[in-house]
Amino acid sequence: MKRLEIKGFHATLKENTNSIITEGFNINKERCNDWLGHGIYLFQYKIDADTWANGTHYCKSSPSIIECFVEVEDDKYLDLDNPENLNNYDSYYNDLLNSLSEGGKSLTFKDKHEARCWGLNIYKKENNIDVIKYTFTNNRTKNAMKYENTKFGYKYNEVQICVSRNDIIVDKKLCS
Amino acid sequence: MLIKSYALKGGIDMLNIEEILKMSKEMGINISNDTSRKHYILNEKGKKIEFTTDMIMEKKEERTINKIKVKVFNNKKPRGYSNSYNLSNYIEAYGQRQVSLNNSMVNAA
Repeated sequence: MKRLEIKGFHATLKENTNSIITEGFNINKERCNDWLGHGIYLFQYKIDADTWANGTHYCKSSPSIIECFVEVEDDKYLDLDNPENLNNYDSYYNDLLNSLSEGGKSLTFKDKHEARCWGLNIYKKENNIDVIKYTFTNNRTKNAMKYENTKFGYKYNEVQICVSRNDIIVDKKLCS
Repeated sequence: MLIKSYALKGGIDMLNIEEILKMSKEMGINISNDTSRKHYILNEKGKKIEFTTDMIMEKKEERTINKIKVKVFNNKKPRGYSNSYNLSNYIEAYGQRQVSLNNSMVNAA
């Protein structure tokens, strides 16, 4: 099976970096609003990790960035930027809800974030997905860096990578 | 109970409803017996409304001032037009309007 090598940047607090590098990430499974389901979140580009770390209340007091190297088998990698994958996942989500309805079960989500997190958590578990990648439209870095509006019609985005397991992060280095 | 098979990445996986319900429960999602074939979501006021997948889309709007610059030149007057339509030789008019840009995402961990 082909293995993919992915590099990403994790934003955190300085005081967490030693334990992350030596013992691994703590995957919070109680939080149910993760955009790509439960996992370890990386930005593809360091600048996006920097602006997130410096902008969020969670770590702006002592921001730190860890560079992570991930190795994942091709069939355990879900690229939601691929329209075919995204379309398939949309169908999967609908069928999941329909199947529960057919079984006489009804779900009540607290909010749309929970609804999104739920679908990908189940999909990841059932399909043994270890890494999900998706590109979100985001002006945070553009605004933080005071980049001017693009004159060429392209939008600012950020690529996020959600890693489900510690053991496929084969190396970690402190960046800043 | 088994539901549809999927082959997103070339493999076939069978979903088990009991397992889905177990995972949903672990996530703290409210599950009830209901034959209406509907699922629900709480709105901003905490009221239970019917859930559709369209609701997952992020619609956060960012207010941005867009400056529009209009230049009007009047160096050629069409024949037969009244002088009352003449504008000054050069006018710069500024208009301001608020536009919504795409969603912005601020959450990551």
